[in-house]
Amino acid sequence: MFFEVEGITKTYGGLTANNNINLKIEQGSIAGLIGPNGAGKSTLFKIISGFIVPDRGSVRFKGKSLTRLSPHVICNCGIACTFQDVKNFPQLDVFETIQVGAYCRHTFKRQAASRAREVMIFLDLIDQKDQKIVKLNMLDRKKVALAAALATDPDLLLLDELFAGCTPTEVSSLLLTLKKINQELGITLFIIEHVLKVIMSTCQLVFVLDDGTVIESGTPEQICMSKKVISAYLGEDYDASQHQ
Amino acid sequence: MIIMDDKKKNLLKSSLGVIALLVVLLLLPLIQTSMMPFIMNLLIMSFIYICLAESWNILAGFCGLLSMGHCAFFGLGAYITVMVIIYFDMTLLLAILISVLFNSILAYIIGAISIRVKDIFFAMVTLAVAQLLFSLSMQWVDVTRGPRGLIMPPLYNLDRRYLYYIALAMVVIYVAIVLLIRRSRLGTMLLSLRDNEILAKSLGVNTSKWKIVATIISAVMASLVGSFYILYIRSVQPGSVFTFDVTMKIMIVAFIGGRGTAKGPILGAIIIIIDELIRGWLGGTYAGLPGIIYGLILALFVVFMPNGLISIFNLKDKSTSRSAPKKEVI
Repeated sequence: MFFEVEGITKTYGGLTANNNINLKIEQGSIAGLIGPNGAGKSTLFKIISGFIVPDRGSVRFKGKSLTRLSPHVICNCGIACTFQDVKNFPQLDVFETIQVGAYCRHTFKRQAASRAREVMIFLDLIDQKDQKIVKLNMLDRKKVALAAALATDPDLLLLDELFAGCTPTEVSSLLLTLKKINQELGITLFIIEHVLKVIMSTCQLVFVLDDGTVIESGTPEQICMSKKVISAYLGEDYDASQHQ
Repeated sequence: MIIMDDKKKNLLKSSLGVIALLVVLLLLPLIQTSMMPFIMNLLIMSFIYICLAESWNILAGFCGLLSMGHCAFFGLGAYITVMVIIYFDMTLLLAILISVLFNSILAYIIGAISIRVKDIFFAMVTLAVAQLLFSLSMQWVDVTRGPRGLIMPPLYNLDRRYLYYIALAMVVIYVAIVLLIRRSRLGTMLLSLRDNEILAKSLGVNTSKWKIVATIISAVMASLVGSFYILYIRSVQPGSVFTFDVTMKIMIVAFIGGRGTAKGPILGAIIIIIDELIRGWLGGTYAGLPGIIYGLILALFVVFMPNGLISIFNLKDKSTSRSAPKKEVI
């Protein structure tokens, strides 16, 4: 299996953030992770990328166990991620930020620079090359974060609410970029998203998380009709058939 | 295109200024006046502190690791150099190499600790190491002769003029090293982990490794200055190298010049000259007054020019300045 999460459990005191989570993702696909606020989506992503050590369970990637590895080692294995709160390097410019990612695979400055340039061209960031990140708008900051993650040459890219706060136009343009990343670069995407348009139009497989457990998985269409999902989001009494 | 031309013009202007300054400094010792030894002493002391501030800058400016015990590396460099020469009768070069080796080991240990502790705790750890070395050098009388300190054998009495040129060369090399680091992979890695360690880790930066590398480079640079110090002053006491005073001076030079910049400490060294002058004029009569004036200058700088003297030169294009490393709280 390309990517597999097995029995991941993480508790904080009395709160179970992730409870026995199992999921599998095929190479080259786009998978989505949805769920109400506090369902444990970001916790799961942080466990996968190594920032949180799970209490139980394992993450396997390309036949290799990633459990308890440091974040930078996991990045070297080919899993990159972006964060919900878009993080940046305030003192670095766009080019150098992306270069940080490129240094993951390239030792020498020239190679890293040419890799960074490639990614900038791919994401249409070349005009902002010398800008400081703090001077960019939110969309461009997200693109830079995405570019830096891409520069690490990942096989699997975890995107945590990349579309949050975007206008409909921005959503469409980012969506095209994501499809391009998936199709042209062959990178498997695993995305947490509240913007349903994104989930519906891109994902082949969607996992629904509620109270730390996967309550449903399937194609977007199946998810939409699932009783469990509807009650998790909208309550037990909601009659989906009335609102179709 | 206009921006490019401006940049080039600025570069030309600043490099002309640097060359002019270097020529003046190179020719200075040739002037024969009775004031010369005094001026040269001032300049050599400034050079020593410029180099130390550059070394401190690698940790504080690039990594965001505030070293409050930087005198430890400097003092250890001086002590081990002279001890190796006195007790083992080795050549100067070998002594310097051994002191560098000891400092690298110390730096490795401190670096390994720095992975586990953050921000203010790193400052505390370095402070503790400096204090430890101070006590050790005071109490281990059989080896260090306690507060009387150690004296360099007369074999290595170099002419003041040679020492002046050595110090000048060190300043040039140190500034070049810091500039090179800024442009190299190491600099990018260090700045990234300073700015946002979590993001850096997620992008595959082995933050622990780079922190240790930076600590070792910084320690080796300080150690070499220590070796030079013992050659110049020819004696070393716990009170002259292992005290917080020395660390304070290093930090003041870096702060007043511009923290995290390569050229800042050169400007910051003016405070060493002012300090020496004040001490020279007032030192004996009003004990403590130099300290007050010194502190006042520092306070004024911190309030009114937090980015240091270098910010005067960077006013026109603040966006490209590399100073003001206000750390983002994660």
